[in-house]
Amino acid sequence: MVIAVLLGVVATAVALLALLGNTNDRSVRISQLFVYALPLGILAAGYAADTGINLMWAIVAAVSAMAAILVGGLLGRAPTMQDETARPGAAGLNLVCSGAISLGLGAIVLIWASHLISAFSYLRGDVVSIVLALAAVAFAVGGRSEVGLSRTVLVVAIIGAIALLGVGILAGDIAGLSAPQVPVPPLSVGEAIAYAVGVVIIGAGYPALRIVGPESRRNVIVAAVLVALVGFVTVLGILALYGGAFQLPSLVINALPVYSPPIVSGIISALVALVAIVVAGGAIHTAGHYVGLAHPGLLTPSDRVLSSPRLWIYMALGAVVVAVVLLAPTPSWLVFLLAALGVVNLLAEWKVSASRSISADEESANEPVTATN
Amino acid sequence: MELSPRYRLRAAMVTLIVGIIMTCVLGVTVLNPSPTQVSAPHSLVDLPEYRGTKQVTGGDFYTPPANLAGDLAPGTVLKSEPLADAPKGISASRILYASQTAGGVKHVVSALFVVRTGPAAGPNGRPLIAVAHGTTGNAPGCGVSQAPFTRGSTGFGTWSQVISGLVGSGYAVVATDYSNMGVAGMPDYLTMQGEAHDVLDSMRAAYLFAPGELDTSKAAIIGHSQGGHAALSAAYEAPDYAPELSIKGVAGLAPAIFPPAPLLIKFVQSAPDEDASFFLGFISYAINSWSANNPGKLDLTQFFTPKGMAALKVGETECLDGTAKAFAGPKKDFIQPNIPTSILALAQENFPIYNKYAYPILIQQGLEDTSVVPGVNLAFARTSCLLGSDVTLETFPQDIHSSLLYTGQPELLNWLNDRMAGKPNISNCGGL
Repeated sequence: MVIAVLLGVVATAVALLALLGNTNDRSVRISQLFVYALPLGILAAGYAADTGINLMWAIVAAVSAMAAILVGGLLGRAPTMQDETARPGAAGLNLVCSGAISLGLGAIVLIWASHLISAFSYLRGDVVSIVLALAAVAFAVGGRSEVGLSRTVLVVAIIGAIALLGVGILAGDIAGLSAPQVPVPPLSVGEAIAYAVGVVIIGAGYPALRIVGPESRRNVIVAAVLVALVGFVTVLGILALYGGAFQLPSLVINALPVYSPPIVSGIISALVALVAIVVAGGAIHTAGHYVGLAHPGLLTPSDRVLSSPRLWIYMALGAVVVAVVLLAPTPSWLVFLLAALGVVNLLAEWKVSASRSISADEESANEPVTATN
Repeated sequence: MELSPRYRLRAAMVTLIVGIIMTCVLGVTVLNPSPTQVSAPHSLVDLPEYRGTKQVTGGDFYTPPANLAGDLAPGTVLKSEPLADAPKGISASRILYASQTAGGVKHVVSALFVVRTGPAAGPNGRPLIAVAHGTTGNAPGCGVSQAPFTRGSTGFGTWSQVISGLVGSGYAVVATDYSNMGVAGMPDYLTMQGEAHDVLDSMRAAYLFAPGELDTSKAAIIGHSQGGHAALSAAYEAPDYAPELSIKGVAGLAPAIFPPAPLLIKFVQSAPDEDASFFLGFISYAINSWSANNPGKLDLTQFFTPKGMAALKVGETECLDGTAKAFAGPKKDFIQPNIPTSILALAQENFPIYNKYAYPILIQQGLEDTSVVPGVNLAFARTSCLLGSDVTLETFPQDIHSSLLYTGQPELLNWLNDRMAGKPNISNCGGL
């Protein structure tokens, strides 16, 4: 009950901060980029854990996540983001896929968070995910305090990773990292490559990074390294704790939270909720942004280019995220689905770019030639 | 989305109200799969007479027939005899049946078969329930079939706390003794495949022993403590090992499930010295059985001190009470300070925790249980759900290991009756 209250307070507080907090300036901080990029880290680690994670898998997951963030952040804005007219055909498809990828990554964060919180608290996972989604929608709508909340998320993630590594070293068996006592299926080269390519394709189609990446390439690189490092250290701690390898869903993983002291469980649940709301809220915000781009008619009357749609759109997007969470797809399935969307997204983007360059060539060819002396 | 100040304030008010409502919803829906809050009085159920302080050797019955053919089909009934001291209205027999060890070696195991006298309620006979009993020892003479109706015997607890209720509800029951606990053989305490074979072959034997009595289209497996592990192991193995059995559901009552992780070793090392004798007895049974089933993989002296090895040997001939007495004293006298982590690989092979179950699963767990730690079974239920199993978890906040059998029995019987009636299982996986 205490954790329920704590979770409710955190969710409400984050939502209120987003509605009533300070207005953000336009520059994008590393912490914000970290928040945008974090779902890729969670996705990468989640997939590896689903198939059976060991030290080698952890390295592949960290490198894949970093590559995905770099590709997404450094690829530049998609051409479909350049104007506000309705976009038929390939351009519309590009926007829909981008929005869907964003929602999928938001759902992954909520799946991760609701599993973790319910494991620590006995709260119903489905109710937890609804509460987090509601707060995430408020975060997406409010749009304030993003810098402060993102900074908090970054600090929490770093401290959490270091703490977990410490617990792993003290209570687990660090020697098991090189020779797991309870082995998982070995990692094949083909599977590792396919997985890494899948994650990178998802990153390439992840709109949050595509939008803010061009504003600071240096920050993108720092955020990519941070996500990879935080994820790797976190997984390393868990691996040490559980004998060098584990496969989700795992009794071994689920057993530990049950024995955490209530105060520890409460703090962990609250912090996970904070991270999930901010990260999923960012994903919903981005998806809403793309809905606005695809259908300018759904924008609020005072909006301009790259602005946001009406409130009910955010609510609908939140509902979509909750629906995905309640369907409980496995990480493997989600990686496959999002990678497929990523491929379609890139093909559509390529087609739009190609047709625009043809149009530009035609326009320049039709321009009257001015004689110069 | 830039909202007007007035709109922002209104949205904040709505957020506050929604936040309060959702906090209440979170609080109200806290996982509470407890059908009842009232426990059986612990002082009345946690008695030595139920724990089996009397070791009863079964005499010549437990000597298998000579010159057994090596290719006996698992479940073949080799010997049987009625129990003369069965209560009025109860027909009970002990049987010897063919089975095989975890390694596939043919051997002979004993079981108790119990049924109410008189006609069955249904036209097709009585549904069969395989009962797997909790820890009573790991040696010959420690089973349930030797003297189930004698107070203080190793079988009395299982008869009075589990089997009698099932038989009274119209079910036929077969309760394996497990390998080496009636007929001398390979011990298989917490050995997944060995226990699974014991249980599944006892069901085959029951159908052959009382063909006209039983409805072969309806069966279930239940087990308490070690038996919970055995029941779940049987459920794990049945689709491959005994696909012909029509199992409608499997119930683990405080099943002995432990996570194979370094933490388990630290848990053993850090367990308090006082009252560790039974705990050490359980551990010695498991390690001894895993060692016997995996020759060359474990060096017992790496786990036990010389004094511990001597106590372990006691466990090879005496039942739980005698084993616990041999392990009385400071834990460090019996357990080596650095337990090798190689034990974890064997633990991994012997806990049915990695795959989806083919049948509906009921897990009952007392939250005051100190023999089987409740959290692991809550985690087990959650994990099984995530693996796609159809799981119902019932927790009993005030119950200890033994009282669960009383408090949980009405719910257990309801659950079994529903499975036999073909009703869909009501899983609470959504809330886990």
